[in-house]
Amino acid sequence: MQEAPAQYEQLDLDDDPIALQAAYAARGWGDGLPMIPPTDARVEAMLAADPGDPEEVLGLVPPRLGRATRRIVAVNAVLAGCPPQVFPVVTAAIRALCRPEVNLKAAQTTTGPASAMVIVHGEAAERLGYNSGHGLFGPGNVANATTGRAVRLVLLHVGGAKAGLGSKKTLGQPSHYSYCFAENIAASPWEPFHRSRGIDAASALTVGTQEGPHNTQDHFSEDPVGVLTSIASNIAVLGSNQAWSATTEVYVVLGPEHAATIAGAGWTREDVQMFLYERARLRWGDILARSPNDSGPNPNFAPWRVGEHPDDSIPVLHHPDRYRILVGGGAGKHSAILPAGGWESVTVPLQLPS
Amino acid sequence: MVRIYAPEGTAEAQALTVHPLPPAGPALRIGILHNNKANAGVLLTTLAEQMAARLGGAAPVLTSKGRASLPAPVGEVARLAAEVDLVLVGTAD
Repeated sequence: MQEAPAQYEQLDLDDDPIALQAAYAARGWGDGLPMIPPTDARVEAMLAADPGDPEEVLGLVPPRLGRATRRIVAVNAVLAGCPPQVFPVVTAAIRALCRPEVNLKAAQTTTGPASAMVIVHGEAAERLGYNSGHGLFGPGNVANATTGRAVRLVLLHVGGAKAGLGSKKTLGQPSHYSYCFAENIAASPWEPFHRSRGIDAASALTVGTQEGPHNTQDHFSEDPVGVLTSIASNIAVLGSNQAWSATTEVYVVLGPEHAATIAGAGWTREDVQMFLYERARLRWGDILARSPNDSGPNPNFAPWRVGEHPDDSIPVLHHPDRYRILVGGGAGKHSAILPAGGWESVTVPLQLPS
Repeated sequence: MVRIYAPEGTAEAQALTVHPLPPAGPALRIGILHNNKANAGVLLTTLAEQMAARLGGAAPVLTSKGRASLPAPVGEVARLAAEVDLVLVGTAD
């Protein structure tokens, strides 16, 4: 086996699992949960699952501007417990998160709860064993849990976003441990999400910096208006990040039963977006009452996003397309909203090794 | 014993040039780069106005990033650099 390149630090540690966990913690490594030791053999096996130059820099991870080489991403994937077959998803996710439109630096350092969300679409989800059904957001599925965790560990270790240091998140979220799921295309009445975003590929990946999921339950409505009114009410919350961010997006993960109710009435994905844009609104008087120092509207608001009278209704999001609609989860009358903190998600084709 | 990789890897080194502070006095031109957060404007404006008052200088020049989470537009930074000697910036909430 080849020796690791000189720029990678290696240590000899007591291999007792309890001692290892203590050694990791003493060095400020990890998310607090046990990790798999990233030995040469395990890292090489991980790298073999996504052929390419191990020293290729997938991105510079802020705020530390750490070099996310394939090798160091593999190290973190081993730590996370990834089976090697999901490693191509992890590398694709890191590459996508480092794109400038994602604004990872802001998400890493903010006081807000932005997490690193990963959604797997299409053939890759089934081929690699991702969960798109019951228990969508966890726990229990190895591919979901370890992929999300590997991405988080890269952001933590390589990016330096440690709580209180590089990351100033006031509260954090459980989604910071792992936040990966698959789209339930089989249960979706519409085309796959990535195709609706113009990605013509068998598999795709979406990454974003969303908050953890906010559940919406609606066990009574039998029509789209009822279901979507419930969801809209969960979006139009004065104390939420989306109410004040003005340019953000919200992912709406419709449970299959809610999706069937909506599509069964002939509604398209675009109809859902338009309805939510129209109905997820806040009263202008309430927004003004929460603006600082009687200075008028929140300075983050675009000039058009103002009212004349207190009862004028102001849309929470500035465009219907900012509602990203997909289906996920199992049976049961629940859906979820996944708001972002103001930055962009990206959807990219996902190439798997043959 | 087990030999393992450290998980952090290397980082890009950033070379930053720190300029000396301009001399304090009535000629000091002060600017504010407001980050659009709710309290930043109040804090920065109050601070800048008090500085200007103590030094006997002109009122501060106020400009805004537009969005808190994105860098300031290049043009705005250039304009400020031409108009002032010292800029107060908002880096938090």
